[in-house]
Amino acid sequence: MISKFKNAIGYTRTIGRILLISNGAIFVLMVFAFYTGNYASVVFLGFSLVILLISQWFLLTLKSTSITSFEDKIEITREKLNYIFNCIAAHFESPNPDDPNSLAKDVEVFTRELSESLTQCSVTLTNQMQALSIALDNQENERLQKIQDTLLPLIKTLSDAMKTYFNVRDKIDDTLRIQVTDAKAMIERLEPEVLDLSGRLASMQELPLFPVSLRQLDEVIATNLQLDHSIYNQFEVIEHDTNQNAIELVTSMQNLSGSANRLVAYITSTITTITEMNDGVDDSVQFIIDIGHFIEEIPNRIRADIEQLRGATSVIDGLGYLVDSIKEISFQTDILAVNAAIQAAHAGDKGLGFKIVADEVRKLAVNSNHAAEMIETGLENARKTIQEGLKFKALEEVMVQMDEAVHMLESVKKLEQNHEDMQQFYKTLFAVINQNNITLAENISEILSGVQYQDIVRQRIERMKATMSRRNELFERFIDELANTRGLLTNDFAVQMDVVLKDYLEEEARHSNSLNESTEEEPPKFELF
Amino acid sequence: MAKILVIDDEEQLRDLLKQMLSRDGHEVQTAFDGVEGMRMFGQFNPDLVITDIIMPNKDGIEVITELLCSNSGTPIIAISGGRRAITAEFNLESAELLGVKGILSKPFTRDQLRETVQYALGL
Amino acid sequence: MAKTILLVDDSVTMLMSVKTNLEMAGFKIETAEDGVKALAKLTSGLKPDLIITDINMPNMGGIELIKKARALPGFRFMPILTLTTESQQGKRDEGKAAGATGWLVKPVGGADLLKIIKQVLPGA
Repeated sequence: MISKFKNAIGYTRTIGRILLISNGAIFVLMVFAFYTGNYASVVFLGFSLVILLISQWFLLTLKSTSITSFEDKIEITREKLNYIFNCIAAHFESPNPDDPNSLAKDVEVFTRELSESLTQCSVTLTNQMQALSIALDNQENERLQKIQDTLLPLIKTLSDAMKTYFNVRDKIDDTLRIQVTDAKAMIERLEPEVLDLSGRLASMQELPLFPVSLRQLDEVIATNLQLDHSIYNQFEVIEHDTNQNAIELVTSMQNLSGSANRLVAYITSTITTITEMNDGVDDSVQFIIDIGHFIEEIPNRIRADIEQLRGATSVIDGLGYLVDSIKEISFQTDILAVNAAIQAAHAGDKGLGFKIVADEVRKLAVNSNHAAEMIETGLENARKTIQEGLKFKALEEVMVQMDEAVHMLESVKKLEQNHEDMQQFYKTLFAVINQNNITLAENISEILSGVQYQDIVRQRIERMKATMSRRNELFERFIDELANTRGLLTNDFAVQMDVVLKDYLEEEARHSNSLNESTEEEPPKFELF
Repeated sequence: MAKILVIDDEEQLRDLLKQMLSRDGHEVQTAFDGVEGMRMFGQFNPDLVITDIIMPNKDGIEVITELLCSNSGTPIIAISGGRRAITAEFNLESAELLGVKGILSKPFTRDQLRETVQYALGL
Repeated sequence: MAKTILLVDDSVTMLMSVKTNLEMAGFKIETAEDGVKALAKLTSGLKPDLIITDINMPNMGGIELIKKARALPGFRFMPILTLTTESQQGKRDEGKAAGATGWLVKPVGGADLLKIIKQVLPGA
């Protein structure tokens, strides 16, 4: 029993040391809570301290209880403290680049977290103390030793965290104070310029202004202004070219429509001439066609005439045979009458009547012969007349032909003149239309050439676009770096901006420009190697 | 005073023109048709060409076209009287469309000639 | 026989305008949008009397096209003109070294272009 008590006394001493340290730790926490303005924690920690003291009093009664989940809680607390510590350390090693004010925010957050953790810590400690008293009651040596081992580093961690926190806070204070002072001085110095450029800085105004970055900002803006100016100049070139091109196009179009209108008027006015010439030609041609028809008909007509005459002649010839027959008959009648008269004379008076008849028959024969001779003469005359008529008609025919031939010659000559006129006319017309076509083609060609400006302007705008995006990229990097380094820029953005400008100007100089032809000695627009 | 080449197939008019222009102080050469005219043009290198339109062998339209195509820049005055269906108006209108500096319709006065020549020479 | 000209330019407006212009003057025109397409036409049997090429083009630019075309059999003495917005001497020297026959700076008027083509294509 006595040895048991002695043991208990030994335990009590050990626990007493632990409690002493715990009391100290809680006191430190209270101070910290007080400093951070977390009065609730102060009250709570005070309350904890009171409980701890009460626990100590309980401890003296040496009531043993079992230890439950004691180690786990200590572990959690230690982890939490480590986390806070790491967070603070991490923050100073690599600040948040997105928000320039993140440091202040983070400090606030971490402070709050720290105080919460510490509060929890104190709660845990209280619990642990309770557990401790229970352990003491149960006289579990090993476990008590373990609690002691755990509590010591926990408290050490805690105090380290506190130290770091205070250091960090001081550092932040100092840095900010120095930077703000510097910035203020800088702002005072650069205020007029900054005011001047403030419009352009709208997007960057929220950044803290630091000396290095301000100087660079100044240079970057100046270069950017130059770049803007160059691009503005190019826009002027584009405007000038587009204008010029449009004027040229319109002029060409006007020339084109002018030429076309003149040509139309000319051709319209020539229609009268064409009509007149065609009428002349038509008349001559009709005349020649008529004569042609007439001449074509002449052989037929002559043939018909000859046929007719030949018919008449053959009729007359036929009548000639008839005359011969009459002559034959009259001759035979005459012989018959003579014989009859001889026979009548033989018959004497008896034949007297017969003699009279014979005389009459003879008279008839003589008359017949006479008539036949007269007919023959008539027929001969008729034949002669026909023959003479044929001769005369042929002559007349020739006369008519001669007459027509003269007309035709005139017509042919007229036609020839018509042809000549027409040739002259169409040659002239062709020359004029051809000349006009050349003018039209030239105008169309110039209009088409005007389209080339579209390509030139497109390329010029593409170069601008590329430069703009290069500049914007540079701006973005500049802003990023401003935020990340708080003005301690590692890149010389002014130089980089200058490179963008120079590249652009060089690029533009390489290409043809309608406005600076007079100012610089440009290589020729066309060159054969 | 300018060197003027006169191309006309009508001898009378040719001489008249030569007389008129010479009196105004111009140096005048004449040709009787387009072929001769073009040959003379090469030799004489005139400041102004006055050509008739309707001529044998090579007419005024051909002369004008050739001269304009040669890009010599020599101003041309066309004179014409017209023949049958081909009127003077048609010839001169055509010549104008081809690009001659001046036109003269036959018959013309001395003043008309002088005025047209001065205009064509840019005086 | 109409002379054939190969036009190489990445700008459709450029191709259209020059093509129409030269066709009006009686040339037969083939077109290609970049050096690669132009070279493909040349290697698959197209034998133009003249090549007119832009300098700045995607895939294959004018300088490279001239070099590669000059290396093809039968293209050693073919006239090749450039038609570009590049006007600086440096680029011209590059073109000359690659084997270009002449250097034209955009824009070129229709009449001027024909005059130049007549200079490098006698009898055209």
